[in-house]
Amino acid sequence: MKTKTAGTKRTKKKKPASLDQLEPGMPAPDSVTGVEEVKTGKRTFQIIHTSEVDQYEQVAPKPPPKKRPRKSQTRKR
Amino acid sequence: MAKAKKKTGSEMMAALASLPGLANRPGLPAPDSITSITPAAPSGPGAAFTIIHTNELDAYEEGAPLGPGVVGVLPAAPTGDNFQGTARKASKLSISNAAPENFKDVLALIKTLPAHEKMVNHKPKITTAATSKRVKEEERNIRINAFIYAASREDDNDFHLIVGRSPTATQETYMTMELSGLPEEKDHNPALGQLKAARAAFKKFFKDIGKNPPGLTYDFYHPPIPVEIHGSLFFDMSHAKGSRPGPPSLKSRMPVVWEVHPISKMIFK
Repeated sequence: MKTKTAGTKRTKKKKPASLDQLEPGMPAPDSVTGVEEVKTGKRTFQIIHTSEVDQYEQVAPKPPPKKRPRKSQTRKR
Repeated sequence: MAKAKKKTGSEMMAALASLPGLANRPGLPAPDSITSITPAAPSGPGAAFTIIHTNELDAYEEGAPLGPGVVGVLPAAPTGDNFQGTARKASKLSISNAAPENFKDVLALIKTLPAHEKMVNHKPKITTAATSKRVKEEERNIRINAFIYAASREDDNDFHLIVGRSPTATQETYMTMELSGLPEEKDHNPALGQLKAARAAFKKFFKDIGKNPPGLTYDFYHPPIPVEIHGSLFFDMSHAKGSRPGPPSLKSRMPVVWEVHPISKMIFK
């Protein structure tokens, strides 16, 4: 059953159909995490949020913990 | 076919630029992803191609470096407005006294910048120490009409702006321009007033539209935001070798590690 969580808003960051990835200066499509449309005076533009960072800013994520080999519970034949 | 010649990271841009027709060709890899270049053979089937070897992989491949769509563990976001870094702090928090030069766009500015190798091997050596001051080639102030395509806030509290030419220009070219984190009041830095005003103009733009300035990851702007930028030139010695600054999506069109740093004035149009 779906429940509503009080006090939380659904994010408005949706990828609109009008996002033209072929325009110069656009981010790689799979780095886009959300898009907001903004009006300022006569102009309308989009803020495209991405997961991109300068490479030297990145710290590799921790590798997953190594799985210990299970003691074999199967009978050897 | 000629054997691949190993070159160090900083030599790759020069090597690429020296190859006929490759300097500004679209579709080139990011310079710091190039591991070697196999030049075209003098004759035979290999004469038609130069092979540019890279370490680029599809992001989904095992062992692929972190790239678009894959954010690693990021450092905590900086707070306040004060500069929190050390590398070349003396340069990043000072404004050159040179007379301003006007440029019609980013490409016109880049064409006037000394070569990468010359700066890397500069005498006296450019160090990354906090006390490292501007060298002669960096003692320039510029004024430029340009467009902000993307921006992020670094952990040293500088805002990185990826600034480019008009979106209708035929050759896409970008470079980094930075709004420095601020010097502390107690340091009585003469640049404080201008740095503060430039940073405030940037933050006000976002406040006026009811949005937050960028965080640690890059935000892109479409269409790009037209601005007039004033600032001093700076060679980013910290990233002259190895990974270069810039979002992966645009890095291949960022030919220099030269920056406008700090931005001393910013006018949104």
